[in-house]
Amino acid sequence: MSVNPAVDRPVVSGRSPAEPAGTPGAGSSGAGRVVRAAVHRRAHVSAGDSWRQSSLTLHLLTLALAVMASAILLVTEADGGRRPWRIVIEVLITAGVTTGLALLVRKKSIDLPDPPFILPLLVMVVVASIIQEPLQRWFLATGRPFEMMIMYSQKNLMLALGICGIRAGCQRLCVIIGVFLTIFCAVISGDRTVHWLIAAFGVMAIAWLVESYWDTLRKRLLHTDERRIPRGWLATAMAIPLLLLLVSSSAGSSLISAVEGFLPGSGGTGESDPFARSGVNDGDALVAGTNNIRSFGPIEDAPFAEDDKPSLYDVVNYKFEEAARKIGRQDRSVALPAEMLAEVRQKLARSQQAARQFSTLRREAKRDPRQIRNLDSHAMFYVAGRVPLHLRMELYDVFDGIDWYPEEPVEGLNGMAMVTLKKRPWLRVPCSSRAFDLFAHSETHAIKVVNLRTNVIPCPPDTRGVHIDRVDQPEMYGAYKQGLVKMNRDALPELTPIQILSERIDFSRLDQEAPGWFRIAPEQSRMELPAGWHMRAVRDLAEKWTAGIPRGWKQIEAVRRALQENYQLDPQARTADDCEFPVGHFLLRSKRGPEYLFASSAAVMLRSLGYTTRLVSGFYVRPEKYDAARRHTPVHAGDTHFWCEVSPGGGTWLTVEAAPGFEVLGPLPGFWQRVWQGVQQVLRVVRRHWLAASCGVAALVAAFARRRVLADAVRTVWWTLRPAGSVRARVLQTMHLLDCRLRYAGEPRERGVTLRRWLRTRPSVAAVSPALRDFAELADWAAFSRSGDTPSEPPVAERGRAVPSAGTIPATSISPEECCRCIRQEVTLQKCRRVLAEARQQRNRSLS
Amino acid sequence: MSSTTSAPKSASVDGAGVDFAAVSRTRDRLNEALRGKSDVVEMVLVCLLSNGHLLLEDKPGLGKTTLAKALANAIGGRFARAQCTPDLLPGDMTGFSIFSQKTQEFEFRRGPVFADVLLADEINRATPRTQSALLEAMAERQVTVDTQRFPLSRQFFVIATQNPIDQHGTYPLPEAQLDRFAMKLSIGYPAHQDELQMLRDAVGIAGTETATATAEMQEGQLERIQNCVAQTSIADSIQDYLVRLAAVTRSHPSILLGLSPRGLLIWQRTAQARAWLARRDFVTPDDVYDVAGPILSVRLGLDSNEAGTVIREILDTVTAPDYSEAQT
Repeated sequence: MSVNPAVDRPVVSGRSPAEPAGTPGAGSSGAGRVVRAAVHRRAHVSAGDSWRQSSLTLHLLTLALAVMASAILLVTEADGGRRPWRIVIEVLITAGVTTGLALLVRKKSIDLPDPPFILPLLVMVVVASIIQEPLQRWFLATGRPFEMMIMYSQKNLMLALGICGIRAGCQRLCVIIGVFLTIFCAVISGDRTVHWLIAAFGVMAIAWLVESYWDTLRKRLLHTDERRIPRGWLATAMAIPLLLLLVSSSAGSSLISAVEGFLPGSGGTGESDPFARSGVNDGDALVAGTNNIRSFGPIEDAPFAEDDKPSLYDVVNYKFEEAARKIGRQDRSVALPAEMLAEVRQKLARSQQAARQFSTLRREAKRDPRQIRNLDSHAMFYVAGRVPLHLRMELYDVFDGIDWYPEEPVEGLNGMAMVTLKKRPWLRVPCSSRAFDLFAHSETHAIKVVNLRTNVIPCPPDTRGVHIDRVDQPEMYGAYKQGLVKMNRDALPELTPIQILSERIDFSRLDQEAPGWFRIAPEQSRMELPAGWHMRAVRDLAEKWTAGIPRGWKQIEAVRRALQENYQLDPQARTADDCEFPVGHFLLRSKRGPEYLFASSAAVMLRSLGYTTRLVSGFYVRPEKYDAARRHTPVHAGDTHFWCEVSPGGGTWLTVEAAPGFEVLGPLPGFWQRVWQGVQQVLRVVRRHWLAASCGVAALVAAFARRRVLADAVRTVWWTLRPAGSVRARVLQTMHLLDCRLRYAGEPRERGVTLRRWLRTRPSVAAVSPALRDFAELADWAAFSRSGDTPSEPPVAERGRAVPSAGTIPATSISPEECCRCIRQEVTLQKCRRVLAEARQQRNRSLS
Repeated sequence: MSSTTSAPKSASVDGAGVDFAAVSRTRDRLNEALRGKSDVVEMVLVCLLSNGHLLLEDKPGLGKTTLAKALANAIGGRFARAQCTPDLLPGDMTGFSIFSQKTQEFEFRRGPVFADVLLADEINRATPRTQSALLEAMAERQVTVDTQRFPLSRQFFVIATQNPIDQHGTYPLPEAQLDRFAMKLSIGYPAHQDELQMLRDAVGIAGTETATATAEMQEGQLERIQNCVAQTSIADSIQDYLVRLAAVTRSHPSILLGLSPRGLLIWQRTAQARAWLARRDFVTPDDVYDVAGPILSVRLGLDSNEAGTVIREILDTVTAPDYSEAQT
């Protein structure tokens, strides 16, 4: 017995390799001459080489992928600047030309084992693409950015490879370049059309992979083996990316993009190119520069006209309403040592004169929307970078029981200096002590002011540098407070990106207590507390919350957690005007209040425990407002925020966010942290909507448990509603329904086994309905007969069963329609399950 | 013997009924002669209606000759029997020319191949030379003697028998000869009840075989039925199935000689016959499946022990056309 030598190679001659010359019957009847003449022309193509030539379907699919990738590149480059119909026309022309050329190449080179023109053609295309650019810049004064020039040369190479796609190798290279171009476009483009085109490209790529796989199978494997394209899996594989895209586009940024750690940062190299298209969220176009051309301008060109934009204090008063009128008989009890009293009084006087103190005693006031125009609709500024983010605007250190008094402004640059980093001017903000080694990494945020009048730059904690394009003179900046930077002008330049480099504290390092932390000699002004019995009660409460917890970050966390968990955030809650100590009232009685009471309470309680604290006002950049399309987060007047900061010493300040619903930006999470955060996010959503989630889960579980019954019900309804068409179509539809039921019942009819044969081995199923045997005959007729496919044929009953009648519906005891109805009604899923289960039991019993 | 060139697709109900009745009576006669072997009888009818030749291979005494004679009797026409022995000459089969003293010319004496039904008993005992004499007769229904061509009956039907056990002094049929047969059937031992019945029936009968009864088919009726069978429709998907099956036999590692195009044509025709017998005017994959064993076992050069396994493997390898592929 010899092994057939033709197993591993395709048939290229007229006679099958398995059929040697002289095979009986092969030549005499003429059937042996089947394809000899047809393939004689290509006889010189070696047998080992023909598998490298692609099928026409795969070739066209490759071309379609290449055209789609080129369309994506076109749309990306246009960036909304060209009319869609012009792009469509260009794509159509590309498709037509490439298809025509591909068919021509295919026709010309089908006989050639290795067409000699392919390599020179490819080299010529790449060289021409690169040479074209300088010529275009020189003669036409137009050009493409460098990266687009490279991409266009790759696009041309891809199309040329697609044209030469008769070779499998060219096809693969073409698709690889197409994928590369698509990834490139996905990275640099924010256009939604591009996203959809990329999704379409993905679907086509899956189809290409499948077709390529089957094409290879057809060529390389036994030509007699059974091959069947798994259409169901193919459809599923194509549906998954589409579904993901649909979800991501429809769910909105709040659900998909606001998960911490997944937001894009800024970064960038600072490189500048006059032919650059818009930058990659970098440099001049950092913040939503695509929508407003003015954002590209240097700050001196930006508008500085007087306007009615709100100041920071307007905004604070707008959100938290006005401070209550001071009560004359109120006795302020600032517990300061005698030697500092004069200085503090002087400071208080200055603050009161400037009206810059912040009172924790506020009253409701009627808002005048005209004062701050469009605060709820237009953002005050935008932030690019990771969020949530606390942006400091003002620092308060002295608290007299009702009012917080801001820190003294510092003069000059306070150690700040201009440095040049990567050819860009940066204002270096001096760093406090790094002895504690708390910092994880630094990152850049960018701010673009649009509707806020202040000269203080909103800075994240631990700001290390500020950069505004082309501002390289230190006189333009000034130190406002420790760690806060201002510009020496009336207001921050509008629509100009301000980049701020800051360091992130790794709070997990605070858990490993170091001996020096929180034990450095405190600053008196940031330790002082009002006197009185209220304060004693507050101190007692703080000690109660921290009982048994060692001094340090854990105590601070305990206080913060207790406030977050036991107190309710209520922005509308107000303390009575005659209240002497709003913090005490909030902590001991009302237990609800706005966020400044949370911050003040945290500061006061931590001071009572001996920690150095201060109150900070500024903005809280909310992650739920993150705009995924524009990749920035707007900040509105409603985002004004107060929080507490505690110092472990050495000039470092740690944000303590005591108000519920607010978070502090931590270091970039690792992979597993992101996963965990994702899980937490899901759990939070579930907890928030527990009733709907429970019902949904219960429904899903029930649906899963009864999935077969449900699917059968759906199919049955579809069978009923579907237009029947011809008798043949109806019979085949019923056969499909029956097949589904048998599959759901756990004993599917194998493919290729006729119902008649299948029933022969399952007499229990055959006994379910007498119509089954008739139906088996009808099914065979519908599938394998060539005639009699219209319902207008003579009725079956008239012909009787004795004689077969050519060309008509087979004789059955009932009409085909009735037979189909019987199958639908009598051979139900439940009956099939029951009889098959009984048959199995019987079989098992007989075996045992 | 009259011939009907084209049995109409829309044959009259009466005509078709008569044909079926004749076939049914023939079936009964065969079942009577060979008890408990209805499946073998069905295949014999399939072979007959598909205009093929039949090779019966089994142990001695199982009823091969009885079946052949019963069939010959049932379908009527001229019957001839050739007991093949090593000294049987080709001329004994085809006929030969002798010089007539009376006419002073050579006259051709027709051999048994000129009958309608030829029983070649123990064909493997004839020499290859004699076996080859049947090649032309079976394939082309004609013989050529002394450069002169003699056509045979249009319903010429060869039933050959051979004994697989006693191989001493036998000449195995060459592949070319085997390919001329449509089917190879084995009868096998009857079941217990059938043997009992056989014994009961034999009581009181003096001779070893019953007397020849009248034919069940009229003259030309078999040819008409064969024409009807040939017109049974067969879907493209089933033809494709047949071709795929044939391709598998050609690349199967256990098979030396794959199915020839002639074998494929015979397979299609037998499937048509099977469909006709089931009173259908179209072929189903089951018809192809059911006749696969007898069709393939005669021409794939397999041992009788492994033939079943290999054929099953081939049928399992290729998926038959399914309802889901049918076009409405």
